[in-house]
Amino acid sequence: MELLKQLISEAWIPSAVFRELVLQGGGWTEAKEAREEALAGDWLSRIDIHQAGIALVGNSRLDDGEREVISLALGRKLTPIIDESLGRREADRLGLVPIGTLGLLALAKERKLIPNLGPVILEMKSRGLRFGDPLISDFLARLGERWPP
Amino acid sequence: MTSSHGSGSDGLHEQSPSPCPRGNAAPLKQSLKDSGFRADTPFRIPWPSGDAAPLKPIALRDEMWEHKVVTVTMPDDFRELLDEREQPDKELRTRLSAHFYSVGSVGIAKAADMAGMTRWEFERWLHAHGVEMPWREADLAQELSSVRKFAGE
Repeated sequence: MELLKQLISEAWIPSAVFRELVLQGGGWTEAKEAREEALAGDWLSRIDIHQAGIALVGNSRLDDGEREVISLALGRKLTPIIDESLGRREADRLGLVPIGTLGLLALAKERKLIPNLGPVILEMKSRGLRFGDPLISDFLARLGERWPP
Repeated sequence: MTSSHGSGSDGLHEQSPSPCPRGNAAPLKQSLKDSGFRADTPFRIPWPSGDAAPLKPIALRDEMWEHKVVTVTMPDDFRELLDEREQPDKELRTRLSAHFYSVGSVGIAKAADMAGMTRWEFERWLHAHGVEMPWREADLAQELSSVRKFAGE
């Protein structure tokens, strides 16, 4: 969360995602942090896209959360943060530039916030990040790092 | 779901469009009718462990009935192994959902719904069972191009 704050000046979380991740997030630390951030509303704000008058786009194979993220990004000219392949493809189709966990990590390295991503990804993988080893290896090789670190 | 064995068929298939070639659906249909089931009443699939599966009620019309039955043909070996599992229905349902997620047929939220779990429970299950994100090379290439766009700003 602290890293995201250094990379992104302002973030929005649509209601469907807030419900899905934050309210049903159980005991996950990230979910608790996100809830507190969204309730404080300084850096991360909740937004109801229907109240904001933003039309819902995206095909019906995506879930409400993904569709709301894409709709919001399209309506407000923002960057959608999505890891889900299906959601990313739909965002791309609509002319958006989606970015995910790996991309944000690469930006953090680019901006010299994290010198080596390997140990960070190792830690994230132990806590639930599910990118496969060949993909991470390929990703890190392009940033001049070896995997496993 | 019904199981039968010994036919040497391809395992899993949906019975469509020709209804129940082996006549498996008919006894099930009759036994449901005997138990007081009405084809137009929404119902919940009974769960072996007793914990209610969070399924949306499905209304089945009589004429749709055969198309809703999936027959899994498998050798006895499977049956014996499945009998040893605590919740074979739940396990099969979860594994099948994870499969369709991992090959990119459905997104994670939809797959979690199909598995009868919350998104976070499903995330935990996927992580515990080593199911990776269904990213292809093209996804990584797109991500790196996004990074270049932002880094250039």
